[in-house]
Amino acid sequence: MSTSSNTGHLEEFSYNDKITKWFVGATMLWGVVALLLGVIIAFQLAYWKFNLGLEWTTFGRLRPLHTNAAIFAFVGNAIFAGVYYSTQRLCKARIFNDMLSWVHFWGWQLIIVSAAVTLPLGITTGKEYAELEWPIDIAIALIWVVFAINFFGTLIKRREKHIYVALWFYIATIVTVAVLHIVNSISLPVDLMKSYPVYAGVQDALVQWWYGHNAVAFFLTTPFLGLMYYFIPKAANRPVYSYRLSIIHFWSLVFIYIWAGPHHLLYSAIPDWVQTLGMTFSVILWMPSWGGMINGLLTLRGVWDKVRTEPVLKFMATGVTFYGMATFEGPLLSIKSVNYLGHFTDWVVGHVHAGTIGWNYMMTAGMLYFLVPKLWKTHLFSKKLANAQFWTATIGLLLYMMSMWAAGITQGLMWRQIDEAGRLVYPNFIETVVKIVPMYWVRAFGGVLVLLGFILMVYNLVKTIQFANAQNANKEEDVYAAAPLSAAQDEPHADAHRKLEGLPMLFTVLTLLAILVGGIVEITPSLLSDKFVEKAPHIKPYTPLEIAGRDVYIKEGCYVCHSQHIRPTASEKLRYGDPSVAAESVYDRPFQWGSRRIGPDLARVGGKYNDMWHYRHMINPRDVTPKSIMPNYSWLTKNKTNFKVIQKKLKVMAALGVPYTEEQIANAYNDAYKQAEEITKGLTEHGVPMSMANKEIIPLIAYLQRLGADSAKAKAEQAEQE
Amino acid sequence: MKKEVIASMDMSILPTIGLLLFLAVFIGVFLWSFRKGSKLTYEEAGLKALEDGEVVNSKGELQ
Repeated sequence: MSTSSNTGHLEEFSYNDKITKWFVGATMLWGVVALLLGVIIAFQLAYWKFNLGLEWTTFGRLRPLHTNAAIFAFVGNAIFAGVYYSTQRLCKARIFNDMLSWVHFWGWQLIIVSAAVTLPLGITTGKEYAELEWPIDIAIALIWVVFAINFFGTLIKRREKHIYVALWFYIATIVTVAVLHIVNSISLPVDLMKSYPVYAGVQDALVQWWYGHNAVAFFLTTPFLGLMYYFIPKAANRPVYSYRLSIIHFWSLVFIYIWAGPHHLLYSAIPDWVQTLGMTFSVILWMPSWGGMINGLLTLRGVWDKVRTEPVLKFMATGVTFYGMATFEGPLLSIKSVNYLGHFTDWVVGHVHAGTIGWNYMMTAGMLYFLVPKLWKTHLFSKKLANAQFWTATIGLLLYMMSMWAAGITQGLMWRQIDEAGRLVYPNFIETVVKIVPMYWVRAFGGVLVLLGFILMVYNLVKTIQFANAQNANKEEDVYAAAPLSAAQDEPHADAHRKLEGLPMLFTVLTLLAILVGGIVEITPSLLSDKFVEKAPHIKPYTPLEIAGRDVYIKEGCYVCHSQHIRPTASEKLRYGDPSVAAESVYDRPFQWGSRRIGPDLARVGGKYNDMWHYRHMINPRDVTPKSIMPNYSWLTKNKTNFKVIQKKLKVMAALGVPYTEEQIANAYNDAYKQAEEITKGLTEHGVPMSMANKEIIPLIAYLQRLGADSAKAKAEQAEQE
Repeated sequence: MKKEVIASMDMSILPTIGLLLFLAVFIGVFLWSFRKGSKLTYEEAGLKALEDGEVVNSKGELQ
């Protein structure tokens, strides 16, 4: 079938583009889902009734679904589409195994569907960006290994000696995501749908944000930098501006990024030196990020006119520009004093979306506009529609970012405002919420524009594909030819890095080392030593009922809107009480420090209000806090507590090192029931029926009343003694 | 034993070690990439991304 005359030295092969096409389709589908979910929860913050009174559609449950859908479903499929397309071409080889490609594709879609089912049901680990429960975690690890085998297998059978820079970024992605996912997900199951992490409190916080920040780094950034290094030169038809810069960019970025996690924990109970380290490396990170941005943008030198007319370059140039902006804002936000203002506010939410919409969405759009016409061998249906998408998405994103800046800085300033007498100017938290609700409407509107733009693109691409299919009945694969790797001569003057670039396994090991150093220095001291947690014998493990209540708290995603960590500053002390210390979360598996205060901090809420206040607050928050934007949780008075599973939960906790006695475990069921009846009895005085004792609201009240109670009790006892 | 050793360590030295490590990596990579005679190899490497291989048998309509 060959028409070539020089096949003597060349091997014939074809690319598996079918798998790329399927990943392209999945990207379009999940992109719509992820953005739609984002728009829904944005409106829910603007108006609390938008969960329609249903437990499965509350903000607490849908926000994790939105983040998971955006990161792992939308961006994930986009990465796979780009990686499968470019790796084959950069290696001049067909993907290692077609069967594995299908296992990868369908396995990943199945994981997404299981996330979409479990998260609204409240099946969650309560760890941000790692909410999926252990059976799904195992599936993710397995499918990731399949992807890795397929990728590295292709590298090994490649016909191109040099491993191009885009592939280095893919290597870093595959290796690091595997390490992050496995280390952060280690947990002990209670049953099929519930597990507790092996880490607690401070350790869990450090591991979680090492994971969380590097999910941004190695899922949202490095693969897209790889895609940038491949698709921008391709679309501009000129090589990358500086290959040398890309080498420096790669090694600096993978080495530095992994250290930046602790900037999510500034002013927390983690050791000061870890905070300083996280902050310093976050600021340093600015440089490699901008090195990459400059390299991407300068690749367009000489073709800037095409940026105006070609959708591919237009979206990519915009994506790289937003990348530059987001990677300037990130280091800025990680400076401790700036972070004090921005942390727990919408500023961070705006920053994240500058990255995900500005960088990932725009780059993905550019890539899809490149891939679809190429894969289906046709021309884009409409450049005008692509242009319309560009403007709706850009304007939508700017509205999003600006409203979140305004909301975040406003709220942050209001929280810390103290008058001349040393009192809080806005002592009622709700005042600071009401003030920014108009911004929530602006944000939701911006989100609608971003979604609309995406739908325009999907329409445009589907039309392109339909047109191509009608025109082009022949779907056989093209045949390519290239010399085998064995024919390649060693270059006489190849330097050490040059050789390294040709040795995928050694390269992978070095990359692994670069990413492990940061984690080892920052995390292992806390895992191996108990020095980080001061001894505090007054902090006792949760009672069986409180454990059940804590799991209701996690199930409802309360941590999405409420933090449990008081920072050591005057305004926080005035508002919430003494700063949180590490010992106070030593039994917290997982830790629930949170990252956003849409509602107030709860670290010391225990004893602040009576049980009836909490009861009324859950049924209708506006009953006790006028203008509250929290939805009604009326189902908590209907759903039954599973008392039977509590004993098993205590057993697992004990296995993880929580000092429960044999007796406590043996009596878990009875103790829980007794405490539930006591609480309910108190409520009956206000007309609550005794039948409420076995409903979920009771353990939740027990848990909330326990928060900070041990420290308060110890403090009161100490005061008495004095 | 392990715990005691770690507990007695002065942790504040770790940030400095981290910073020095990075500096070493950065300088190393920088010097490496600017090695004499590497200009041509890198120019070639950059161009590699632009080729998909030689098409010997194309099906359907190519752009």
